[in-house]
Amino acid sequence: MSKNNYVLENKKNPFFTILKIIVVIIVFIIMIGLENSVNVNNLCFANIIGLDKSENIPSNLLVTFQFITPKLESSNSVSTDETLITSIDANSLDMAAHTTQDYISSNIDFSNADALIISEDLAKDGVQRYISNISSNLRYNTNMYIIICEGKAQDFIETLDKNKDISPLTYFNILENSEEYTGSTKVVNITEFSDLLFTTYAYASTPICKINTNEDSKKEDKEDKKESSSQSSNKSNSESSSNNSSDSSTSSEKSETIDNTNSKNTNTINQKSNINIEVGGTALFKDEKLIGSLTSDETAFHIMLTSRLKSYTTTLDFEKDDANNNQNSSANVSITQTAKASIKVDTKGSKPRIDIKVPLNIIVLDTPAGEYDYLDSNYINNVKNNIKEILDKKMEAYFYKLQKEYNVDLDEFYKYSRKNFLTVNEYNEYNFKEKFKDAKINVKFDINFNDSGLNIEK
Amino acid sequence: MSSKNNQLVHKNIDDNLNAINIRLFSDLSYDVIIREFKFRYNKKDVKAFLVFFEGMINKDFVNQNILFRANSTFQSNDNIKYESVADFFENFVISNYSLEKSQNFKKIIDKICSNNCAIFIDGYDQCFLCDMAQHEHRAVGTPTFESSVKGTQEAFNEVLNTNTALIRKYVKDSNLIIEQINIGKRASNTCTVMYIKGLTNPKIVKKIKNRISNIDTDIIITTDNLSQFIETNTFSIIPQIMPTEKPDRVASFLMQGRCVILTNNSPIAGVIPSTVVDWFHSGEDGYLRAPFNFILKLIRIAAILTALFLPALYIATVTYHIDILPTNIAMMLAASREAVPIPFVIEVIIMEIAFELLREAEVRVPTKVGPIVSIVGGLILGQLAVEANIICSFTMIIVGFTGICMYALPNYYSSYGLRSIRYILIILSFINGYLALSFGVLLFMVILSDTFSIGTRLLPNFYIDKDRNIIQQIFTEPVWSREKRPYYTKASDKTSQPNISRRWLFNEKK
Amino acid sequence: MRKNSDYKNISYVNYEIISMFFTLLACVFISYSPIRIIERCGSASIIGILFISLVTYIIYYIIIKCIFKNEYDMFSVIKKTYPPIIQKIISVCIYLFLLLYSYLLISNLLYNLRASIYSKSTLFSISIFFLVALYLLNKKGFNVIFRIVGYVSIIIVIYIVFLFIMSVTKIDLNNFFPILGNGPKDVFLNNLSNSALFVPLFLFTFFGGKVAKGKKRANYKNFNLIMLIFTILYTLLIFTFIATVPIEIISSRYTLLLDLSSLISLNPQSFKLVPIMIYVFSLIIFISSSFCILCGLYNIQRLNVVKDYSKYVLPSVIIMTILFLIPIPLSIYNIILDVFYILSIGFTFGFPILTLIIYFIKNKGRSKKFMQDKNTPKFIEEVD
Repeated sequence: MSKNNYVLENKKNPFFTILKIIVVIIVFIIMIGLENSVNVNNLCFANIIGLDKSENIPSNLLVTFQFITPKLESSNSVSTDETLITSIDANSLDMAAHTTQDYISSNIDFSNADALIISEDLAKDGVQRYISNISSNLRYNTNMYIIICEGKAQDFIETLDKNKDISPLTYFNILENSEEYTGSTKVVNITEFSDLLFTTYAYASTPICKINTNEDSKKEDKEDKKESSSQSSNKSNSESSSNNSSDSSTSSEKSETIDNTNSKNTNTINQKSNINIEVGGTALFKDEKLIGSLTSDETAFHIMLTSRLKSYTTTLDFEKDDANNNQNSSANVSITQTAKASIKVDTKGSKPRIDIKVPLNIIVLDTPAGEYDYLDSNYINNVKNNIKEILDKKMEAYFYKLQKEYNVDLDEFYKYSRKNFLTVNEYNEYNFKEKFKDAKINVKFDINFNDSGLNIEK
Repeated sequence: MSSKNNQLVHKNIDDNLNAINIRLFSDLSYDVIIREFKFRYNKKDVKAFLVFFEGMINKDFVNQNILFRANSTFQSNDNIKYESVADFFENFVISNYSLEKSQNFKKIIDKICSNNCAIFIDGYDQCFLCDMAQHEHRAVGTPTFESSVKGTQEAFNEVLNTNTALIRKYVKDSNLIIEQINIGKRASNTCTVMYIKGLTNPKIVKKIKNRISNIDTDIIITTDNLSQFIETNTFSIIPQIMPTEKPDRVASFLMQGRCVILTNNSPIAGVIPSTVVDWFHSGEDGYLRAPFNFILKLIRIAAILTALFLPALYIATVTYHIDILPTNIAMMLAASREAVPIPFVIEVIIMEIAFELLREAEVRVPTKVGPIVSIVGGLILGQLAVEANIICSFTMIIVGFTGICMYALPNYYSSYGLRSIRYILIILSFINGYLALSFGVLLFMVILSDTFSIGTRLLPNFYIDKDRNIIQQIFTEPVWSREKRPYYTKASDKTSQPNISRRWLFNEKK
Repeated sequence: MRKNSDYKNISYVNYEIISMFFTLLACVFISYSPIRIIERCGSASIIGILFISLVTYIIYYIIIKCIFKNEYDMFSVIKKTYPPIIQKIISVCIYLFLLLYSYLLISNLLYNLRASIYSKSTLFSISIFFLVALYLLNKKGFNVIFRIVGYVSIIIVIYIVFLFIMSVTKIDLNNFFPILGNGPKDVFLNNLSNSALFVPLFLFTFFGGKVAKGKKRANYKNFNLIMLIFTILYTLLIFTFIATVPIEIISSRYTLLLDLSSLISLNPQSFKLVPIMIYVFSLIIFISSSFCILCGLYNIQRLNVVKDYSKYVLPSVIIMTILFLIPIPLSIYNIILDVFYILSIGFTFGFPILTLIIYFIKNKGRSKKFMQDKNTPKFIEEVD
């Protein structure tokens, strides 16, 4: 250590100390960045965003927002009852978000939005223009669900809003539940959706929702509305799905039966308690446009191939068996998938060959139609064989729909085909996208019947 | 005055008496006792007088060891020959354990002021000084700010000799050296530096002694005063010399290779060097079993992190980044603004200041129930404030929780510094969100690593070796595996235990 | 008490220097570099990264061995190879290069921040934090930075492992096929220009033989560990990217970490993890940028351009302030990045190799093996 360390410092020029203090104050003032702060005093949250085609101007959007202003109740809990719906005509979502500030006195927070609802008509014209800037903009919630709705999104949101018994924050819990318990939808958030839209070989899909309303105040009106609701549900079903499978008719039957029971009960049914979201099916996108949809059963097969189907209960109708009294027989089964499906794609020939193996765990619940004898092991074996046949046929029908009708590689077989090539150029030359419709697909179900309850084999 | 200080003792006793009367202001101070007496030597009467301060001297000693012996010279008929009067007085009359002679009046006055009795005899140009200290003092009591549940309950008191005796009781090592340095111009006070020779780093000891002996001031009352004189960075927020009031803690610190300073009239010992690791250790951690030690350390780490960062994180999130919160919480915060008109920052600062005032009040409350009353009172006040809509309940929880976490830290003295850092972080996070908060964290770390506690920086090296890293220091190992001393004390002898310190593992028959 | 700018007073431990250089290298995670690599190599990015790391490791192992066996550090080599005037020019060039490198480190993060969160502020008002941190850390010297980095470097490791763990459920291994990606020529040859991210290795040669008492020279071991840890983490990060995000999307984004952080949240109503990225990387970039400038100042002192670098801290900070005050649009910024890439390859690889060749030619036959005891100043255990 040199001597300098111990020498007292010379008297500092007071000018320099004042200069240092001024510099410190200036630096402190520059650091203040309060312009970025959120004004929490008057904050309302956008819960649902709906996009429609505008009626007035053809190239514009009709954007509907549902805003929630949380209020404090006496017991220090928060009530989300105060909701507000506004619809604005604008040429993009950002413009609409900015112009709502002319109509609403509070600041809006979009980052907790639950879902983005797009109407069918708008989706058929192309979606990329609206989606791309939403998913990359941090102002909006990058995890929000994206849903296609039947009819107009504005009607969807307005009718949802009328039900005051459900909290607005829990409208879309039904999506996760249905994916887990019935396998009728595959939930997608907006980032994944837009990623799939922009990837060349991938095809995007979203769940389909509709409002299930039973607004009956008088019996006559009830009957009229019952007919009209069943008719409209039939019509919408026919619009959305290309073949009227038995499932849609059973759903309309179900709604009819619900109507009947409700009408029998009381006259003064609360309008609010009958409004609910019904979820089912998947919408298919090709080249950013909506081209078709899968039913809820077919969505279950889609989930079987891409991820794990956790639980799926359905009725499998067997073919008419002339030997057995010409009666329709069916079986109620509960299907779970034990492991992911193993897929292999062989690209050696001119047509690709896809081999799929799906391990399933099936519990036969009962056989509702036709004669039954649960103690007869032959009967049970018959039922099991029929189940296997029906599942194979359903899978074939599913692939027929995807390959021949829509030519959509929804189950991402292109990813498995890439294993056979060394570089991207070779893969591009092979052009799996064109060859998919001629591909030969073999599905093998590895079924393990869980014997329990009625059908314990002796 | 200076001429008087340089003056030496006179041979004539009247001159000496005069000089003492002038120097000690015996006509003004009531407790200066001057007792003149005579004794017989060689069949002659010799005059003498003694001087002391009343209350500081053991009067029985004065009576028996000096006056009685002096009186008994009149009765004895021994003709033992000594060389001189002084020799006779020293060897026959005075029978005190400590005896010193001095010629310098300054030294004599200093000694009289520190529990000595000065005796002047006629015809001798030196003065006898006997140490007969006895003054009223507090008994060895229980610790006030370092309480432990089942450890030792002894604490230092204000007498230096008692304190050093307590330390020697724990460290029965002949290598323990207690050096004494006198400081203070007008009123000198004794200060001791304790270390173990061969263990403590000699450079650290040399530096401490150099700093202490080069202090130029009037008086140093307690160890805290002395600490401020010795510290390198006096303006730093974090203290660099750790106070402790328990002798068994001092003993363990000495064995770790640290140095301890003690001052007379002070019940606190200062430990050098100290680091951040000491914030996590309490007095009885060394005695706890390993699993409980581990959980306790985890709780303390969580406590210090929440106590420092939670309010600042809360304000940064709520002011700038409310979109990261889950929807429920964001709605609750937005709804609370309806009732409460004040911004979040001001709420937090008001509650923090209220807690500070309560803490100060608790210290001044004379009863021992003070802490409990103040915490409960604070929380009740907070509840009322929530109901009166001055603050929202979320803020109340956060501020209360941080207050409790600050109390969970074992070392009370460090909490002053940490509290001020918390305020700085709150202001910074209000200014610009998470970026400013991380800047504040950097500032904090720079402050920690740039302050020197003699011998080391406050922030030790994170990892040198498998045996020398901060995780191993914070999470104390079981007693039988503490083989090395802490690396930041830079002790000369690194190992304290061999690899296998439980020899019974091999001796026992199964 | 001791002068901060006296180079004999720099003391560090092996762990600290490893974590310092690893932190410096890790600043690249938030920049354009992952996107460039993925654009170039496609699904073979992991092979690409491993290849670059291997090549750099081999070249630098040879360089480091040549330097540290014969001399104390890079500056001694430079002093013995070039005449004094050229030494001074080289040192000024290195200083300006390091200023530019530090500027680019900071502005990477700033553009990210401004695009995502601080959208209403100007670039200067966010950069003031970095400038103040630069000034503070440079005034205190090397020792403080080495102490702090031991604690901070763990955060980046934890963050990347955390990202990996949170995205485990969404991993799709099929994204890694076809194996050779865009073709072997792209993956191996054209990818070499991406090795410009190893600039900090050049700074590693500035720190010579200071080791703790009684330990062997651990420079080679430190270098091995730095490269190993960095390669593992970078591979893990790129693995997480490619497994969760389709490759064609990646080139259209500006920064990947924002997207990745948003992929991780579970449902629309839970926590969103984007701002944690700010916290982690701002701490790292505070330290790395000030270390770079400090190395630049150290080098102008060692090569005798100035006597005491501590007087030049304030002018360096003023130069950086002026650089941040100039508004640069994004297109010109990309051009600057391209130029910087070429420059940095020159500095990291070209310059040391050239210097060593000239050194060996000059000192052929006269070189002795570097005697540790005589020439190295001994490690001074700090007792302050």
